[in-house]
Amino acid sequence: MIRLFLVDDHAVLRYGLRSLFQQEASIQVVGEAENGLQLLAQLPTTPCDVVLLDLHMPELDGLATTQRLRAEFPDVKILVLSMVDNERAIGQVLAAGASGYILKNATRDEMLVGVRAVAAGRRFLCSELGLNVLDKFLIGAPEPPPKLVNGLSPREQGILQLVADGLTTAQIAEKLFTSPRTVETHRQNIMEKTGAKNTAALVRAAVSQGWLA
Amino acid sequence: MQPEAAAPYEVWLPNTQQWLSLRAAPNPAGGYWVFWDNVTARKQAEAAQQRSSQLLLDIEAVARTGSYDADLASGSFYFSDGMYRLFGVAPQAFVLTLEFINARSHPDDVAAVQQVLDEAVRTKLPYTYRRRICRADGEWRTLEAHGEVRADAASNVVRLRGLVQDITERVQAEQALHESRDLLQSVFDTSLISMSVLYAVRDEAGQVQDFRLGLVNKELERETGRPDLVGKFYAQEYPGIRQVGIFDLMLRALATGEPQGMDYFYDHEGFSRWFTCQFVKLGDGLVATNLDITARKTAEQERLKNLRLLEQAEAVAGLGSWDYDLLTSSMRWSDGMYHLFGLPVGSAVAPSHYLAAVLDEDRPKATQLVHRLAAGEGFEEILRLRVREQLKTVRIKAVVVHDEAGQLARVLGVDLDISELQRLEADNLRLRLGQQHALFEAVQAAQEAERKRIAEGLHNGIGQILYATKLHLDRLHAPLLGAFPALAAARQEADQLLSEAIRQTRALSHEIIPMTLKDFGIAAALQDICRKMSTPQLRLHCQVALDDEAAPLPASLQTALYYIAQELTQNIAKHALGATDASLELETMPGWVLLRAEDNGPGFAPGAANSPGLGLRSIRDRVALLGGQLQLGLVPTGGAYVRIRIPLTSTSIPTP
Repeated sequence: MIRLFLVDDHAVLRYGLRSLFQQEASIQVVGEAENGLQLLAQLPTTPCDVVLLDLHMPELDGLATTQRLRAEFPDVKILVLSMVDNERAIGQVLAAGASGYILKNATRDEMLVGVRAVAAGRRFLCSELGLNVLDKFLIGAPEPPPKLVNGLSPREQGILQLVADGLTTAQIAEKLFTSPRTVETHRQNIMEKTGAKNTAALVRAAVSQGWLA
Repeated sequence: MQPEAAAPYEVWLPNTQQWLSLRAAPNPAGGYWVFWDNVTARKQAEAAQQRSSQLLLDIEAVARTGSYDADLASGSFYFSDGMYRLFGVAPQAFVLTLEFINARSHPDDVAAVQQVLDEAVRTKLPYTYRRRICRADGEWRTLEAHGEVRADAASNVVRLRGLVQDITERVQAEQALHESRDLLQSVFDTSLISMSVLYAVRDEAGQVQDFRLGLVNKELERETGRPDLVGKFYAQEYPGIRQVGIFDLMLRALATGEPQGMDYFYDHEGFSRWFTCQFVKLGDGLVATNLDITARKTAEQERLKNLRLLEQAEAVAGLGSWDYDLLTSSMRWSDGMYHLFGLPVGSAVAPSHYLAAVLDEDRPKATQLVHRLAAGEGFEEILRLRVREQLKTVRIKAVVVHDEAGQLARVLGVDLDISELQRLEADNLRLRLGQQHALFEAVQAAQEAERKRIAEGLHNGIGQILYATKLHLDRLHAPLLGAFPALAAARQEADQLLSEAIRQTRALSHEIIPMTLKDFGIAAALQDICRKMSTPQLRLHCQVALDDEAAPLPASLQTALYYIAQELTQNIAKHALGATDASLELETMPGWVLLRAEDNGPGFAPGAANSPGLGLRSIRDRVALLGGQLQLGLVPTGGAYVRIRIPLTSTSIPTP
């Protein structure tokens, strides 16, 4: 039997959740709270195994509540249930000590699996989030962008052109709407990539190799 | 003793200093009686008379006088030798008669003399007359007679005795004097200057109390309307002269002998005019000249007033005017010009002053200006000058003036200090931009509030209700619906629709209100944008380099940058067809925040740079409102870039 505490400021949702879990004999909803403060107030008298926690709440929100729970009730497992699908927010609350994260779009089955997994001491992420992360990972490792013959990026190529035109770092920065610092960084990178020792050598190489437009 | 006819013999006794008259008469004794008388007294009287007669004759001869004695009773005349001489005839050469005298007299005088004499006889008073006579040598002489009337015991007039004197020289002298005085007076009178001769009037202590008018010319009479001034006391007639300082000036002229003069406004005794006066010492008096200069003074004052007005106008308007003479290549400046250039008024000036004061950036313009001036060309130019460490913007306009022969003669110019005007314009612009900016921020804030309200409505309202609905629907799970496959399928469809609705609601709410921006800042928000917009076909790189030392960007600017970045990436996704790689770069440097988007797509469609799409135009507007600049173009390796530069100020209000 898993003792579950529902924390959400939306009564209609708490009602929906309670009805959902009522059908499950292995899970018992022991308490409800509108926010973190109410939860913390009730926990000493109403022990539970898992807290189903919303993130956006008045008084004490999900993230702060997670931190308090970790400190004050280290045995209580936290499963976040939120509309927020932002990776940073998710990462933040997981880092703060939440065991799982479920989007408020998950099916009944996912919800039950999640609660059981967390109660069993495992971590859980709903499938939508899991697939999102996978998508991002897949995008994050694409084929590398086409490099130019000299190995310079388009940006570096542009700066090389301006260097060859005789512009100073400040003038290039002014022209490109960038900072001299950035131009200098690009310049160093160009030098490294082309192996030129100084600007004069770089320009000479650029001309002889036909790198310039 | 019997006086006989025998002539007495008079003898002088020197011892006794006596005259004796001896007379001998025969006495009966055959002898002579000798009688004598002491006749000393008689002899002395006779001698005296003879001497005085002789003296008279001598005097008559010397003094050219004559005398007469007319016995009215007998009608006989006695004329002295002098009388003969007066008529140029030898004394007693003939018997001088009244007829002769009248015949020689000027006809006008005969009757006049007769009248004087008749009058004298009637009044018995001493008389005098003049008579012009023609001398024997034909010369006209003037005689003056003084006479007296003798009457007998019965008061009958018996004789007239007179002394006649030739006064021709005196008359001539008098006449000459008269003529010269007339001449002087006429000179006096014909002068347009009021003139007078004044004599000092002193008290017992010798102090000058006043001046008596000795001579007054016609102009002064006319000026004063007083023909009666001669003999009057100047200060008494015109007390005002003491108040305006003229009296003291007169005393000074009298005391020092130095001519004194002054211009003065005389507002006394009914005058209300300007005069100039001059006093020159003459004996114990002064010659005074006085001229009404009211007209001149008025004109002078008018000119002065105009000049003052011009000077004031120049000072107020920061205006200077000048005049360049092409013939002499010389330049003249008004006071205003000196003030403009911060030079002492009156110092030497030349066109090169422009070159000396002009800023280096405007030097070519100034050089050209000097050339055109020397060439006699008109021009209009704006120069920035440095005057006493102060920057002045001056608008110069010059026109050419031709002489009567139609030749170029001079260049006239006006320099107007428009620094203040420019500053006001700049202020005005700044103010307007500031207002615009404030308006922009207000609109943005209102939009933000509205977005937030909608986003929260979606997120907390609809989203939660949708999920609650989904949860309720989930209660109808498979085992319950197992017997009714159609119901199970419908539930499944409803469940999926609800899931999609929830997902879209969530996405919409997050798009409307960038949660990441609020919670994690602009860098994270931009990275989120890139991550969200990235697809397997198009990779969006995000690079953010914010100055750590600098203050965090203002929230409003962060929001603006977020939306701009969102638009930029959406543009790339929408328009850079075929692009595989794009970058979004945000960096700050002192005074500026820089945002760039680049892609490796085909670049803008032809003409797009001039008529950017709606998205780009809204970016442009946003950037303009932030006082920034936007550039777009093609990178050398293909693809398009959009570069944005927004000034960072403490108030975030753009300054020109």
